Amino acid sequence: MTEPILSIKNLQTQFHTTDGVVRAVDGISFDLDPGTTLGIVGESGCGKSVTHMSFLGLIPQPPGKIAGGEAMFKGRNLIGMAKSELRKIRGNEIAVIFQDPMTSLNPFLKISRQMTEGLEIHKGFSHKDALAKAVALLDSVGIPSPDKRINDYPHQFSGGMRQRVMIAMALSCSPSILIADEPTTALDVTIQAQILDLLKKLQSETGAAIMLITHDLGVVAGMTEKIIVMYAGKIVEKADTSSLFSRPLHPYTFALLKSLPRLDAREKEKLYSIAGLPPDLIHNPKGCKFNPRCAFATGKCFEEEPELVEVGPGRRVACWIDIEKGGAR
Amino acid sequence: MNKNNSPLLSLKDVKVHFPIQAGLLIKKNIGYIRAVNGVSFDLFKGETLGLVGESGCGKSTTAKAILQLNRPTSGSIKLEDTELTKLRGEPLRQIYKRLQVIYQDPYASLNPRMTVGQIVGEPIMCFKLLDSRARRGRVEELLEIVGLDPRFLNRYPHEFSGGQRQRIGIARALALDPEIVICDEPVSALDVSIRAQIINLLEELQEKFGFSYIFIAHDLSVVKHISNRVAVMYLGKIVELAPAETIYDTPLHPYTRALLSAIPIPDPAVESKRKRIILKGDVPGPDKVYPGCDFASRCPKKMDVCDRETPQLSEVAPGHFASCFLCNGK
Repeated sequence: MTEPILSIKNLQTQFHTTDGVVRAVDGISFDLDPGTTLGIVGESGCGKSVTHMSFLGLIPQPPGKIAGGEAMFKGRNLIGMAKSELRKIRGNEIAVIFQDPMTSLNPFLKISRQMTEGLEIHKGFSHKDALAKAVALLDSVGIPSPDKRINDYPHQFSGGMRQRVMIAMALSCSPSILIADEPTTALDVTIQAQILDLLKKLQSETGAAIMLITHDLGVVAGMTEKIIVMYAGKIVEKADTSSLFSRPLHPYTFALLKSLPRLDAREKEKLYSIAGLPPDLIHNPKGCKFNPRCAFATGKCFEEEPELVEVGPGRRVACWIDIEKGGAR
Repeated sequence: MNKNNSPLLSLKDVKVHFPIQAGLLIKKNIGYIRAVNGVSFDLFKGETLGLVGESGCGKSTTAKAILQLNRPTSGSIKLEDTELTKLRGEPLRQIYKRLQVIYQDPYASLNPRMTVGQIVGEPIMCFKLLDSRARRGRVEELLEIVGLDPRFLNRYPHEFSGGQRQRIGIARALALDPEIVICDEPVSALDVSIRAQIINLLEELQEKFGFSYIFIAHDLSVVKHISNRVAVMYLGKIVELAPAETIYDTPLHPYTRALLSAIPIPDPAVESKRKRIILKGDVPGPDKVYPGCDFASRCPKKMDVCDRETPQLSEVAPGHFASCFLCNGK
């Protein structure tokens, strides 16, 4: 077994508000293996983005608070690391592509300035070398006439092109981990296909590990080796991609997959729908957090919260019920 | 769906062009954005027509043109025998009893200062259909139809979640018993688990009340699920129109093929076997005029004729329309 490049243990992130404590990430653990792609799936507010923002020190404190846990990266704990140390890792060894290419680039600065900044600071390039490298990077992400476009401002690029610039920027310091936080959500489907294709190609060239955060189960199906499903700040299921889709074990994953209208559906049938809403994370229900919406919930589900336990090779699920047999696990 | 009847709504060569103006004091037109550039289709009673395409292809402008919120530059829009584009004033106002809309953003489309009762009751009040007591009863009934507790009457929109707000918007659209409901991306802003609830609700309501939907979305899998027929738009024109199953099984236009292949299917076993057609480049701007086919610049199957002539939407198989020289026998 290879050593994981990033290992998260019992990470807890809370936000202290006037209404109470929001447990945005509530004790999650997972490993990211080098060179692989891990998908993190969940609905809005389930804590998928807060997870990576926590270990990269991007959570404003206060109101946020990392209440516990560790994130081991190359033998060092990112949680509680000095800001100046973390800054040397962020954008250098771990890079992020954010969702919205419209707001994550600075509209006042030319692309050239934004792309060379990281190279000059982290890698000690001279401005001239950094500029040459930036042009090469723009070329590698498929931007036509990169030597001219490098002097443009972000508004002169289309949405898909801006996302390519973001990817080029993230890759500039050859990171060993690339975090893609909803990289294609703001884009049209034909452009989404281009960007996903590009990410795959670049991964095979650079060997970076990718953490792909998305709410779209279709996107993770074709892109990842392993998937984590999150619900209300917890991991409810963890599995390799093919077994998660063929045999979902948590009622939430099961329902989520069934509630998607599929392009390749043969017959038109009514969509399965999950009743109710996700909890508000301040007033969590007693027991399992999914119990008010769960079709399988019985006595124990309302009393005790299930732990994420191993149920098969590489498969973990947090549920009291075995939904395949229809009884307690 | 009864196709032998005459259509309920009929669009003929509808164009909506927005002028681009320049100049400080004296404004001059320096060109046009051709948002909708010759769209024709019929909508029959009780059917759902899906309208798909990428952002900027003119789906929403088409919807607004039907609702007369953007007056068409040219073309005709007929609701049975009434020509909507010629209506002004009171007669125009009266058509909204028959034509209603559900918007994409459940946060922006409800007035935050009005209670749910006021929002849902407003259409009834505008047409002075019921007195205040009967209106209250009707609003309670409507809330129940869309699956909300009638006791929520005096609450404000901010007290509801996205899915619940969309239900309020649906209740408002139903208040006048319309014949046509235009749904402009009604589920795009919602989470996956909520999306299925709203799609099911829209389907149940159609079964119950028998109205027609024009369902606009960029997500082809949602559109395929809910629609009887699907029209694919590109740069302000319909490039292909066919029954929902046909468009998936035998797409004819190269753009439809690329669009379908670009949509990820949530199943790794299927996904690994699919061949993806990756289109080059972006959608060109709608402010330019192209001598040939609009899609020629990105088309993987471009021929010489595509740069010279513009293909017309024509029936290539019964009920299956496409505008491409590949299937028009040229």
